[in-house]
Amino acid sequence: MIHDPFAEGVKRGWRVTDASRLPGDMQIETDIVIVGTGAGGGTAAEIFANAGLHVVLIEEGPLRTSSDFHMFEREAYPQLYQESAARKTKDKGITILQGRAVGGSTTVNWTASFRTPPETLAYWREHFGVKVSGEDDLTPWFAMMERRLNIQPWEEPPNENNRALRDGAARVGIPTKVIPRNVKGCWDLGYCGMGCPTNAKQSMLVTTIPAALAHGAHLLTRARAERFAFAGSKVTALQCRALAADGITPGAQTITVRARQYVLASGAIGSPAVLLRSGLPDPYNLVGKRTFLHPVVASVALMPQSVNAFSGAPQSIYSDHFLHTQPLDGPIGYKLEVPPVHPLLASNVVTGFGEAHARLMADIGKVQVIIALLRDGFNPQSPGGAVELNGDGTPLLDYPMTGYLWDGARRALHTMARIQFAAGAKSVLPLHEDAVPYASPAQAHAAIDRFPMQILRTRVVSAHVMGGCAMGEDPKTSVVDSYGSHHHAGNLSVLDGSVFPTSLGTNPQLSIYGLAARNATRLARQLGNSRTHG
Amino acid sequence: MLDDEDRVIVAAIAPVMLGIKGTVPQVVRGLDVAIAGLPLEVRAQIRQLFGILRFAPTRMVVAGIWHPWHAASQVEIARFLSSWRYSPVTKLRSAYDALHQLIMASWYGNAVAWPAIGYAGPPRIG
Repeated sequence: MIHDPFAEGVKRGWRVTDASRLPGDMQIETDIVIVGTGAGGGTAAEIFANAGLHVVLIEEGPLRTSSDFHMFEREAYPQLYQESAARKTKDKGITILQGRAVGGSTTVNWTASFRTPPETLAYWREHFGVKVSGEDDLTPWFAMMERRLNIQPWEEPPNENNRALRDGAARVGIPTKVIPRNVKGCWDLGYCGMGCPTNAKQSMLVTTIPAALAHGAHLLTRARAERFAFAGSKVTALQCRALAADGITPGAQTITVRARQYVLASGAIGSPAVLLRSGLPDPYNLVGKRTFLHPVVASVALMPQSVNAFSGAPQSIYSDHFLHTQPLDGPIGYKLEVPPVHPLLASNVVTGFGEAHARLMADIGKVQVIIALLRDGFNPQSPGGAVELNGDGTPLLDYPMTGYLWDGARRALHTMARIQFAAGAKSVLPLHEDAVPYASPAQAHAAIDRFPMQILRTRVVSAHVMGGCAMGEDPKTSVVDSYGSHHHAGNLSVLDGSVFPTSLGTNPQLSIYGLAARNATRLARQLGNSRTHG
Repeated sequence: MLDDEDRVIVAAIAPVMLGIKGTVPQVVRGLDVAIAGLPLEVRAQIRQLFGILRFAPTRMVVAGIWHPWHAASQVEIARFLSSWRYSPVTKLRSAYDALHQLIMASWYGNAVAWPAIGYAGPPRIG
């Protein structure tokens, strides 16, 4: 039997409340309430709790721990992801993979852990006045979180899927590197996306949140933060609603939290949504704007040999070559990685239907897939998306694909096909509804040149949602300051990926950890060491 | 979520979408479960889609299916799927995508689909 430290902690008396089971309304007073338990909320919770502050965590998703993680897609996606891993942008053009459980996306991500690229930080400094250098330097905070989460380059050999990226790229002169991962004693199973069954992944679920709970923090699950009450220039309360037993529909009970400090960490769709529902001052109409996705296009290769891309560390090799071959604000660049290939998700992203689709699925063991993540937000033609509210108050992201993005998507499809043929692919299927598997590079490149680039024709997905509450020093262009403090509400901070003024150009978790750690530490110092009751 | 009339539609479309025979009961059940896991807003959109497919005039005009679903031929259904897949109307492409996603997920998420594709299922641990 594998230990389930979280379940054991709960047995020992950690304060965890499933709000869907509350008998009546609830009132809570605390030092700090954090909305969201992902990379930002988890990191902040540990820091606040260690500082002796009383912390309440509000999570909309359920608590699921290693003993619940059976590595079945049909269980994991509905339980651990926003909208069953089928969240869509408003025009349905992009599918968004985003976590929705204790630990947020860190519970289900593929463990790639990169520091924020220096050119991204420089761009934020120059264009948004973000304080990220000198005494505000993030480097020590990245180092601290790398130690905390055991982040280091993957030392085992890459699985066949990643090896093909490395070797194919090398043959066409594209350099690759090894991905740093946040794992400890990893079994190399390949099921990170369904929740780590061995607790090797150092997600918030097994690190910072348990640490905060051990210091007396109180975690409420299946509780949706609806809105802040606001008076003068301060938040006076957080209104939450318990979810019903299905974890989706709103329940009857309400939870009112009064705190000295309010922290929003619901991610780049959730955090703007709470602000929009609250009607907090937004004089320049910035909340929910400039939301970025790293739109991803993909290419499927059929290899002569077994790849078994469902097995082994899902992401261990990457290339930033196409982020560095043109100016940051020029034609859009892209990062190359591979995804894990499990049957359900693969059947969804593979285009086409009927016999052609079935033939490809029958060869899933020989399928190799490369993905290209487009670095959006650095050019006027890439303004990102906007978070809106549905009639029932739930968020909806409007993210139009622009010609600027499609240009990068087409170049990326060319690049990926080139690498896959160099790696020995028998055929390559760029994920576009007009594509068929191409047996030669010439056929593939000719076809890619002709593809009409449109939504729901070119397959586009995203696993990185960023922005919407941009940080900066000028309230005319930013929602929060460089430390996440809201420009118009003195006791409200945003500590998550929504504060990024652009996308990152790399997988976001370590950027969120580092920034949240710096800003939470500063906030904890400001709040001092006084405890109230909870 | 689905009633008998919806199930007939799924049972007619699924084998054509999947290109596999003998898939129907698992897919119909899987679809029900999958839809129940979606937010209310999305469920309402799926209801709307089934509404279009059920109502004979829209079934004929929008989907081009001239026979009732239980009598529609595979060729007729394949033509309908292709016409939505490549439609200039974004909403029809997204409706095709929704059917693609729900039917594929319901089949390939189920262990009965795995032997045929050589996937052994997750490794045993502990």
